[in-house]
Order: sequence, then C-alpha cells, then structure tokens
Amino acid sequence: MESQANENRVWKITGRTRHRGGALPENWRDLLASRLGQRPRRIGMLAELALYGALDCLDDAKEITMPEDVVLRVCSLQGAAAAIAQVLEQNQTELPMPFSFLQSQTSQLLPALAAALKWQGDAGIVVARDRVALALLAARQAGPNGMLLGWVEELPRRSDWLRLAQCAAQPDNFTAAKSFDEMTSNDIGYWRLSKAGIEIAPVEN
Amino acid sequence: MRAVYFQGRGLVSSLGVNLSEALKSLAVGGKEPKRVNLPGGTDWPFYTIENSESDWRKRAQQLICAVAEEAGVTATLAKRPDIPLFIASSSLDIGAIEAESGALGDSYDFAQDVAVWLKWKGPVYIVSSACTSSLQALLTAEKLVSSGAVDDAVVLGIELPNRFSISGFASMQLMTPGKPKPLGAGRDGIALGEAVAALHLSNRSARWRMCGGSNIVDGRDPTGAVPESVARMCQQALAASGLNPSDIGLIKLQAAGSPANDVNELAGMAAAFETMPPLISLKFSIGHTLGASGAAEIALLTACLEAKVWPKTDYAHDAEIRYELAAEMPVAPRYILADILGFGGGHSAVILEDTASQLKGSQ
Repeated sequence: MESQANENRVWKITGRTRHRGGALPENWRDLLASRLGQRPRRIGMLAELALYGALDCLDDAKEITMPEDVVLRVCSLQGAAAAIAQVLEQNQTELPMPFSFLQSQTSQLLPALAAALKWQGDAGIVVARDRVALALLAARQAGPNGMLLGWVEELPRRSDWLRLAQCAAQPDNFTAAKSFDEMTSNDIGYWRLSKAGIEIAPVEN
Repeated sequence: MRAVYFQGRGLVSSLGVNLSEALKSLAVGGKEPKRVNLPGGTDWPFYTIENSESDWRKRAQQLICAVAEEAGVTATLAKRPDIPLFIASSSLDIGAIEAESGALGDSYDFAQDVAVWLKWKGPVYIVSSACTSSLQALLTAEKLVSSGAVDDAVVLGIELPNRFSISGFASMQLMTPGKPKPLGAGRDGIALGEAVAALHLSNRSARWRMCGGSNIVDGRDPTGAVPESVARMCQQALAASGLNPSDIGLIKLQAAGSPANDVNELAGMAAAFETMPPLISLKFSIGHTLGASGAAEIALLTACLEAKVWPKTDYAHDAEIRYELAAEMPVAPRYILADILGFGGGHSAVILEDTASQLKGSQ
C-alpha cells in the first residue's frame, strides 16, 4: 500500500547555512556571540556549533524564530565527543563535573536551540549515515510549516543546516535526487516527496 | 491514514528475562535494586538485569536478540526483510567503551552491531534524544506506518549498564541513595535501571492501537519538565488522537521520584485534565531506564493491564501533591496516555487504545 502522507508535497528550500559544505569561518564563535548578543555559557562545543549553523540558516531564511509545528531534526554521528571523552576521563577517579556531564549529552543542543529561538516544538536527535534517508524521514513527518534539518560535528567542525517550508509552487522539472550533495546544492530550490524518495527541482531564475 | 497497532512486544528488565517473568515478579512485590560502586567511594542503586555474561557486547547481543524474539520480530523479518528499525537509547554502547577502555567511535557503530546481531536488512536509525528517545522513535514509526510508507516498523529501546550515566546523574545530585518514591513523601531522587524493550508496530489489527502523540522540546529548563509544556504535550497528544481529556482512563506518568520534577509534571497534568484520571508510575518497579524507558514502560504496562497485575508501592504519598498513584488497577481503561519527560527539555506522550475494552464512553 502506498498512500504515503506528504506524498507530492512540494518543499521550498528557504534557507541554508552559507558556508555549507565548506569550513566554518575562523571567527565563527565571535560571530555567534555577536548574533546572540553574548557568548553562550557552558553549553559545550557541539551545541555552540549547532546554534551557529541553525541561526545562520534561519537568517538566510529571514526568520527570527520558527512556527510551532516545524519539525527540527539534528544528526551528529560523533555527538559531543570531546565532552564524552572528558567525562570518561573524570570517571576514572571521581564523579564527573556536572557541566561536563550535561555537555556530554548530545541532546542538550536541542534545548539550547529552542531557548535561542524562543521556540518550543518537535525536536529530536536522529542519526544515520545515509543523509538522504534522514531527510526523507523528516519530510514524512513534517507539517505545512516544514522542517529545519541540521548535520553537526565537532571534528572536523561542521554545522550544515537547511530550512524547508511547504509551498504552493509546482515546478514541472522535478528529477530524482541522486545524492545528498545534489539535494542540498545551491542550484536546487525545491524538494518533492515521491514514492521512490525525494525529487528535486532547480531554483527559479 | 491507517490505524497502527502493536503487533508484538518484548522486555527484559530487572524484573525478569521476559514479560512473563516480569509479571510474576511484580505479583509478589517486584525486586530490589542492586548497588553500583563508583570511583571516589560512592555507591548507588541500580535496577540490574540478571545475566551472567561478563562481556558487555556479548551480553547486549543476548538481551537484544531475546527481546526481538519475544516481540515476534525475528519471525516477521523472515517475511518482511525491509522493515525500518529505530534504536532508541541515551547511552548506546558507552558501557562497552568503558569496559574495553576503547576509543570513541561514532554513535552509529552501535546501530551497525545491533543490525548484524539481528540480521537486519532494512534501514536502521538511532534516536538519541535523552529520556524521550523511545517515545520519539514510536511517534516516527507510527507516522511511517499510518501514512502507508511501510507496513511494519520496530522500536528497540536499549539502555544497558554503564558508569557514565550513573556517575553523571549522581554528579548532578539527581539520584536517590535508596529506592525511588514517585509522588512519595520524602522522595529524594531517581534510581537508574537497565532494560531492552521492543515494540513492533504494524497496520495489522491487534489488541493495542497507537492513537497518536506529541513531542515538545522546551529550552527553558534543559534538565527537567516545564508545567506549561506538560499541559501542551497532553493537549497536542489528545488532538492528534481525536480524543478529549475525559476519554483518558489511565495516565502512565514519567514520575521518577524527583522532588521538583514530579511536582512540575502533576501541575502540567492538572492543567490539561479537569478531572485527573488514575495514575501509575513504573519507576519504582524498574527504575528510570532513560532512553529505553518509553518503550520499556509501555511494554510492561500493557502486559500488566492484560494480566491484571498492578504494581504496588510501599511508601506514603506526598500530601502536598494533590494526586496519588492508583492503589488498584482501574477497571478496563480504554485510552491510556503514557508520557516521558526529561533531560534535554523533552516532553513526549503517546496515547494507546485497548481495543479489548468494552467501556467506550463510560469512563
């Protein structure tokens, strides 16, 4: 049976991290502090990276916060690796420092994001190596206001984000996406969910 | 949208190696947590699965394969090899990394181990959103099945022993030195436990139907529940299920025995339910099994309701909390709300229907 929810729904890529696929700016932490109005306190490297990328992406989408029903999904294969290693080390001789333990929890980036955006909604950490499959999974769950998707790693530092929202436009030149890089390239403006997966269409000129 | 049912379930916990053993144990009062010693000279309660295998990964394989077998997943895989699997866990294989003094890999390595152990051919996802992981995984799996994208999906909640979680929660002064007392007078913290639980969802009719649910992350308190978000979680879960508050005949709480969080949870529930349904918490029986807790507690609760075994507590309730855990099993509740709250500002709930209940509209 193939009566899939969201099938044929068209999503417009309304925002993306501007460094996507490349290295973060050297001064990304200064830029984040400037964007937040203060340096984030004790949230850990992974959460700071997530904040930097998500806010950059939403700035690109010209959104200060998000509608309540946006689906927020983050993938991090390594998680908060530095903090995890620190807690493992501390555990050899004593209880870890409380903030070290908090920062070792990858999911702590979710409340950090929610607080920075003054938003409460459906957010989660979902991990797989197949990035197309993760995007497809999120697209099957997203409502009309769409999704914010992030891939965040500490080493090498990356924080790639996409903001997609449902749109009424129906470009007539959809083709099957061959790879995640193709799906997220700057030339692509639209995704559509099909029985076979995600189809893509170029940005309108 | 199609109806979604629990086609199978399995649980290994401190109560026993399967649900049948767990029910026998509960019927005679349950089991006491063991003690875990940590460097620095402290020791803490921990609800431990009895299993003599000393190798962490071999033990994990035994437990996970046993639970998949109990849930009927192994048999289903022979007919439907492309089922998606959602592994829900907070700590993944950190216990093995501690035991082996091994290097940190990436978090998906554990998913690949599990896939090999279960001979899994379909897609495998990890959901690692702290305590709410299992319920988030259930909501995702339910969406896939109800939309017709797949006919079956399996959620595997896995939380296995490690010092990392115990010492972390101890460092944050969230642990009880004794036994947890959900909604209890003098409650002084949570006790962790280990569990592996499987819930097999499908579009084929079965006794328990998953009606819907909700998931809200609220950044205002990164380590606990916010009453306003608890209320909204309930309201969204009811709306997603097409139900009213008065339809709910039983609430399985998060209630882990935390002095503040239990109060916040009940404050939120009181805002959502004009008349509070009967309440149950399973943390007294199996501890807080973190990322596995949503699946573990649903597997145990549905088995308890079928077998008419009601977990008992042995402590006085807190008079300052207006509500108590139900001393007796409610009569055939048709709709049950099960929630998990926790670390990461997570507030998740699902609503289940017991299709065998004949009390429609009379609760």
